[in-house]
Amino acid sequence: MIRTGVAVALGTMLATLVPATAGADNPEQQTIQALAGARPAPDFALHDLDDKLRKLSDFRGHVVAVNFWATWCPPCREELPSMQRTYEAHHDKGFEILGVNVGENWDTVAPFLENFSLTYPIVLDTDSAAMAEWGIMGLPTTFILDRDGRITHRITGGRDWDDPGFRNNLEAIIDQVQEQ
Amino acid sequence: MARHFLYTGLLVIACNPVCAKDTVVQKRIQEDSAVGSYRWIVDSASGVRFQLVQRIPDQTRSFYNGRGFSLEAADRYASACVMQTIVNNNSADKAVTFDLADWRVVHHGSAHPLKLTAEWQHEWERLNVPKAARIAFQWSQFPNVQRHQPGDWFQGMIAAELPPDTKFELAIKWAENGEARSVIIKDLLCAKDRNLGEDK
Repeated sequence: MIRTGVAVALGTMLATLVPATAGADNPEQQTIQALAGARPAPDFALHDLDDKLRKLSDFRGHVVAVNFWATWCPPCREELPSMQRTYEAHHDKGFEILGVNVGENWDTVAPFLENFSLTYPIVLDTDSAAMAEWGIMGLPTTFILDRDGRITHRITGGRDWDDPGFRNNLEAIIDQVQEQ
Repeated sequence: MARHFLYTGLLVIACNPVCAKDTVVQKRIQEDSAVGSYRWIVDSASGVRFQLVQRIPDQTRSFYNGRGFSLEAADRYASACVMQTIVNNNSADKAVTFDLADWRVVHHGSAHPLKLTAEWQHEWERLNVPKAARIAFQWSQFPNVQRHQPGDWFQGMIAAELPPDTKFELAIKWAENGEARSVIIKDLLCAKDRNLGEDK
């Protein structure tokens, strides 16, 4: 318990020490990269924060954003609230978000998420084996999967999911992928 | 967190023949009295931006110590002139690629390559750094080989392997739609090793 408290305190301190994320004076483009030729997403089975085993393939039939992230990663933290708002706005249309925390354990992730009110599932890729299979360069990286579990789009780096351009683009992708 | 910067001057850059003539390097200082770190910015005409931000050794030490590194291992890395490095591909239509193996640290007239993530990981294994801590290290590093489409960006740490408060240059290379670009960032400075709780 004390360890957890120390970790949270340290995390809070570090949040103030990690240099500002990119784009403070150079607004980023809020792009979503369409991939040439959708390929099947590598399946995984990972435990969520309630210790329930979640398989990616259980999300078949939905458009899913799979977001790889970590608590220490500033752009990952920044996009969590706007991702949650996006999830709330589109969940009724069959849109899902699956957060995959990389390399951390419950003791780190659960207290950290008390600062956010995320309702989409978070699973723990504690040994980063799932992430390695997806061929990811760094964090955060998000993939959009169609209803058949194929990767159609990739988002490299953090985004403002509330950005109107990003939102319009994502809505169009969700509609397009739903119809496929 | 201060998000404003003061321009402290433009730096002269050196280019080899393939360097974009209109690439500009700027040095800015953060208005954060607690950290007070410098930021160097390279902008290419196409909209590709590289940034290097000093990390104070204490900052890096506490980051890795908090993730399972021993004090010895955390200090080894924190004292190696760590820079938070950021790439933004804000170009309209350029695919950006680069490999950190091609970058060179220039100090006292000699150049050496960056120590890449895999080499650090071998060192952490020798120092018995726990696996979970090594995973945190892996993903907090600036990815060694990168490819970016417009709108993509990443950040992570690199280490010049020089003592604190040392001046050096960094020769960086990248390609835009396959066309080679390079620039030498002059007057980079490793952060001083000071306790963040003390006055600068």
